[in-house]
Amino acid sequence: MPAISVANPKGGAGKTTLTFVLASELARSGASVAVIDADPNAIIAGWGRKRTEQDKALPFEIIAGPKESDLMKLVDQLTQSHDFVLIDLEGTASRMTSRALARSHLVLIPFNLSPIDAELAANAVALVLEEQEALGRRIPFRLVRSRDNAAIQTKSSQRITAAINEAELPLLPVGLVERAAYRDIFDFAATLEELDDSQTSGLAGAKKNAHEVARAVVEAVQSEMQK
Amino acid sequence: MSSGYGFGKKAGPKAPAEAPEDEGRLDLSGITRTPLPLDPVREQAAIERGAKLGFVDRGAGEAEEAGPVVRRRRQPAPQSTVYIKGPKEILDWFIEFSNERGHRAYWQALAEFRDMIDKK
Repeated sequence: MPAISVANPKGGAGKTTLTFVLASELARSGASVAVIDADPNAIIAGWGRKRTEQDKALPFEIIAGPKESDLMKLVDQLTQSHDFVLIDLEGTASRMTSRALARSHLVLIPFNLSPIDAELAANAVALVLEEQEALGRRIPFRLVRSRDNAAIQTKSSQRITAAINEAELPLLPVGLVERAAYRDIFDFAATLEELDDSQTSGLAGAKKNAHEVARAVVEAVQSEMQK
Repeated sequence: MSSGYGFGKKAGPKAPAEAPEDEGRLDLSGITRTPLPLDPVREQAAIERGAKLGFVDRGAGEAEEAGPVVRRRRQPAPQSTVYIKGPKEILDWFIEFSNERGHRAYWQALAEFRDMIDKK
């Protein structure tokens, strides 16, 4: 516990990177973490397979390609045996997403600061709001800026942020910044700590960003648990 | 101006305030393993709400059960080549006919002739 779903019906919104960064940081802080890789691209599962082939330890447990019918049982089991259960969902509007959200203590909705991404993230928000009405309880969620540009805020990104603020939707205070390291972790089947400064540029910045994002998510969980 | 990108104004939890920097490890205090109760009837209602928004059954994770996708290459019939030399007028008519009938290969026009004869 808790189960955290990472959802956005758009592919390429940063779900897998956010899930991975969060799982790694939580595990590094001593938490037992299970990742349910429900994305058909199975990138985290592939990362884990490569590490196993290279005799590298897995910092967190990975459960790949669950069937929709098994997802609920899986979430129930893992929330009892692990400190955190993260669910990396597929980038389509699927019933699997609806089911996962209903079982989640927190939903993270990563999105790129582009109009198309924002509209699909809004669709995920609408799903959360509809489901919580049907369930008769809150489903806490946070929008998370993805592939954020630390240095420049474009006019469209400013407009999107303003629209989110105007709608009074909860936005995680830290976004996942675009970093080469977030690609290299999958390329080298490595964790951020294992990457080499000489091969990956901006590694220190990526580590700092990963930690800040994870900390903001943990604070969101803590804040929701106090309610 | 922006249309609001679909983010309707609805109440939601506020984002937490930023905490001071820790020393490399996350503060995980206050996080407990409390199961989330879920009424199956309410869950079904939630799934139906999702379906109305387009979150429908995509057969997620069911592909393995159906078995791997097997691609079969169609075996072509034995092939042969005919070189035709004849009166230009006849061959031009044949080419024109093939084009008009939408055949992508001349043998398809011959196949049509064969079908016409077989029907007689």
